[in-house]
Amino acid sequence: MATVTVGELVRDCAPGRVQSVGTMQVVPLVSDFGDDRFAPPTEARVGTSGYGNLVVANPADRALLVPAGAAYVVAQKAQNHALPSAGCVPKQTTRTFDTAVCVQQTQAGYIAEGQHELMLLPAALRRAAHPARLEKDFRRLWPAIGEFNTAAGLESTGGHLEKFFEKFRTELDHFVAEFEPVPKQVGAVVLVNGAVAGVERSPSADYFRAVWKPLVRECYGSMALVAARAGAPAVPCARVPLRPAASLDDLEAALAEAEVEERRRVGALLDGVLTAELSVTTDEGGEIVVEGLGGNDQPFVGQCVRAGDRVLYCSLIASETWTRRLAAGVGRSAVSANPATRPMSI
Amino acid sequence: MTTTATPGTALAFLDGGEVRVRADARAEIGRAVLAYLDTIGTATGRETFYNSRADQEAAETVAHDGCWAVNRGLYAALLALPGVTDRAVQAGILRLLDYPLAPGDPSFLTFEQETRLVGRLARALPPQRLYKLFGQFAAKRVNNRRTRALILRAVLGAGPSLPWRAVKYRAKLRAALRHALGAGVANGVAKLAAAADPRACPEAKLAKYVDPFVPAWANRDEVYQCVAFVLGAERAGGFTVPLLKAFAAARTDLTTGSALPVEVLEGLRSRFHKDTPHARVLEMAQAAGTITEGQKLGMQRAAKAAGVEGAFDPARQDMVKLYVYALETGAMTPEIRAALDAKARAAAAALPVRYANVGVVLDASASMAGTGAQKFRPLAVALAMRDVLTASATASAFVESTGTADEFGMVKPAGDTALAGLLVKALKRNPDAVYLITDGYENAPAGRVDEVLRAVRALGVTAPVFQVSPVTGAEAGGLRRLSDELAPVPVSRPEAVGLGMVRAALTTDVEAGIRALLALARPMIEAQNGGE
Repeated sequence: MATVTVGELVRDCAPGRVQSVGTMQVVPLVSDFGDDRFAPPTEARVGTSGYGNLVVANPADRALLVPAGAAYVVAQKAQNHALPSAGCVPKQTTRTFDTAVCVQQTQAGYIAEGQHELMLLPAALRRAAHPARLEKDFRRLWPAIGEFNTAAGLESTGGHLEKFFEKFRTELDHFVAEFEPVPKQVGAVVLVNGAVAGVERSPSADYFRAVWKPLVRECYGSMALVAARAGAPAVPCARVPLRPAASLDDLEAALAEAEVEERRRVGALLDGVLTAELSVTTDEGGEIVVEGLGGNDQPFVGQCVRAGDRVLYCSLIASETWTRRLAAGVGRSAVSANPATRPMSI
Repeated sequence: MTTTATPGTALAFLDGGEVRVRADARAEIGRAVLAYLDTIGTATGRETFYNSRADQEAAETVAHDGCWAVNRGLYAALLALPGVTDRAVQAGILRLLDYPLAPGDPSFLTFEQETRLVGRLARALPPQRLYKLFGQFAAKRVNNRRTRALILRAVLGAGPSLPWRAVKYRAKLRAALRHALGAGVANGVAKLAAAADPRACPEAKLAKYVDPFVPAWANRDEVYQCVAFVLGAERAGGFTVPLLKAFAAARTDLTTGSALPVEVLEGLRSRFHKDTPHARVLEMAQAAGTITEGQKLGMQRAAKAAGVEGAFDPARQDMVKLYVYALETGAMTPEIRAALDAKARAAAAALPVRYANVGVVLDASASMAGTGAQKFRPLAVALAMRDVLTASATASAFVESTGTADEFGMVKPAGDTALAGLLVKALKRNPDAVYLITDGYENAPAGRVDEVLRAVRALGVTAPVFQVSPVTGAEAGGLRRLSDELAPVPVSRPEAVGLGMVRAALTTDVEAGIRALLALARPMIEAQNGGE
C-alpha cells in the first residue's frame, strides 16, 4: 500500500510564530509557493437537489476546490448539508456531489442555490465521517452528531448539528476572535490541550484566508470547546510562562527565551507528527487527484489534493487512537523526557 | 441639578447635594459607569473583526442598561461629554424620551434640565442621525409631548437649511411630521401650508400645531412651503422657494436642478433622465459646489471612474476619515499627510494630560484592519491616535510598531499580535508614559502583556501605561483589556480622547469619579436654549 508522511504533505511550508490562547495553539504554516489554480470555496454557489445531493456551482474562471467537511447551515427551511470529502468543480460548471450528508435530521426541504456561508464540520465529525466519506447515505452522520452533541453537554439532539452551533455561538466566535492569519500563511498545525489536533494546508494564501475562519471556529474551536468542558487545563503544556527578571534587559531576554522554549516544545510535538506515515488511497483520479489518507489505526485521517507530485491541499485530523494515546500522556512525556529534541523544522 | 432625592431604585443619588452611592453596589456602579463610558465613547454598532453587529448591539444595550440603573440623570449627563459617538447620543435620547421621568425618580437632573439637555443633544446630531432617531420614535411609538416638541422644533426650526433638508430628506421628514402631528392633523397641516393665504383657509385653526415651533426669526412663508413640499401637498401657483422650485423643474430639465443636493439630483436623473449619464450629475454638482467635503471624499472613486475631477480639501476632513480614505485607496499624498499632522498637533494641544517623553506602541496586526462596514476604521483610529499622542509629547516621542511605517506613516495591517516585546523595548527608552494602541486581542501568546507588566512593576518601573482602544469587544462588555495593570482609554475620535482620560478617576473613587463626570457635563446641561 502506498504511504506518505505528514512532512511530505507540508514539504515547502515553514512554521511561523506560535499563536496561543487558552487551550488552543496554532502554528501558522507559511510558504512563498502559492498555486492560484483554485478559486476559494467562498465563491461557490451552493444548494441541494435532493437529500444527500450537494450542488456546487462554480462561477469562477478557474477550478474551485471544496474543502473536506464543507458544511452549509442555512436560515432557510431546508435541510442543512455537509460534504465529508474534498472535491473539485471545474471552472464555470456545476457539479452535484451525491455523497453529501444531512446534518439536520428532522428538517425537510432543499437548500436554494446561493452564496451561503462556508462552515466546516467539527473535527470530531470529520473524523467520524472519514471512513464512509464516499458512501451515498445522507443519514450516516446522524449518530456521530448525536454523540458529539452529547459530549458537548447537549442532550437528545439527534442528528442536529445546528443545535451545537446555536448553543455555543458566542464561545466559537471567541475562538475566531483570538487568532489571526499571518502573511503568506497557507496552512496551520492546530494543537488542542498541547496535542496536535490537525494539520491543514491550502493551495494559496488567498485560499487559506477563505477557510481560516471556519477552520478555527467550527472545526478546531469546537474541539477546544469540548476539551475545555471535559476539564482540559486552560493553559496548555506548550505555553511557557516568563521567568523572573532582574532588569528590563533581562526581561527582554526572558521573553526571547520563553518564545524559543515554546517553539521548541511545539516543535518537539510536531517532529513526531511529521514523520508519521499515512496510507494513501485514490478517491478521485484525473489531472487533479484527490486522495484519502490514514485511518483510525494511524495517527491521522484526512485527504489531500495533488497535481502530479505537488500537494496543493491537505486536511488531516488526529485519529481517535492517536488522540487517546496523547490523552494518556504518551506524546507529552516524549516532549519533556527529551530536552535535546531538535527545534521545529518542516 | 436637584439637591436631594430619595434613593428609590437608583444605585446612585443625591443627598444634600452630594453624590452618594449604595454601599452594597459600589463595585457594580463603578463597572457599570466604566462600561457605559467605554461604549458611548467608541461603539458604532458596526461589526468588528471579532464581533458581529448583533453582538455589538447587544453589548451596547447592556452597557446602557447598566448606567441607566445607576442614575437616569447621570446616564443623560454623560451623553453630553466630548467624544461621545452620535450613535450613543441617538440611543440615549430614544431611551430618555421613551421612559418619561417618573415623580420621585432620584435623577441627578430635574425634568427641565433633562429636557434642555435632550434638546441640545438632538441639535448637535447630524441631520441623517437625527432623522433616523425620529424614525425610531415612530417605530417604537414614542409620542409623548416632549418627543413631539423635539421633532417639530427640529424640523420647523431648522432655519435657512430647511429647504435643503426638505429636498434631501423629504421622506424622513414626512414620516417625522406625520408621527409628531398624527396622520389626520398632518393632512390638514399640508393643506394649510399649501394654501395661498394660510390665515384665511379652512385649516387655519391648525396653525396652532405648527406656529409655536417656527422661530420668530424664521421666514414663515418659506417654512410653510417646505412643510407643504415635505407632506406632498401641491401649492397653488407652485413653490417659490428656489430649491423647491428647482426640484419640480428638474424633472423636465435636469440642468435647472444644479443647486439640488447631489443625491437628489442623481435620483431625478435615474428616474426622469435615464439617458443622461451619472457623470453629468457629478459635473453639475462640482460646478454648483453642492458636494460636501465628506461626500467628495466618499465619492473619489465614483468620480474617478466617471472621469470627473473630484478634489477634496483634506484640511476639512477629520483624521479618521482621512486615514480610512488613504487605507482604502492607497492614495496618501503629502497634502493629506500635512493635514493629518496639523490636526494631530491641534488635538494634542487640547489633551487634558500631556507628558514630556512619550512612547507609543502600535498594534498593526491583521485584526486591526477591521471588517465589513468597519473596514480599516480600527487602524485608522489607531494611526490617528499615534499621531496625536506623539504630538502630545512636550519633549520627545517615539513609536514601536508591529508593522513598518512607510514615508507617510502608513502601516499595513498584518500578522499576529505580539506586543509584549515592543512594550519592554519602549520602557527601556525610559519614557514618562507609554500608550499601547491596540484592539485588546493578543495571541502570541495571550496574556504575555499582562505577564510583562507585572514583571515591570516588580522591577520598580512606574511609568504609566495606557491601553488606547479604538474598538469595544462585545464579549468584554466594553474595552478588552490586556492587563489589569493598564489604564484603559477608549477612543472613537482622536479629537475627543479627553473622555477616555477622565475615566481613570472612576477606577479609584466612584463618588469622586461621578462628581468629576457631572462637572464635565455641567456646561452642556446648564446652557440655555436647549429645550422646549
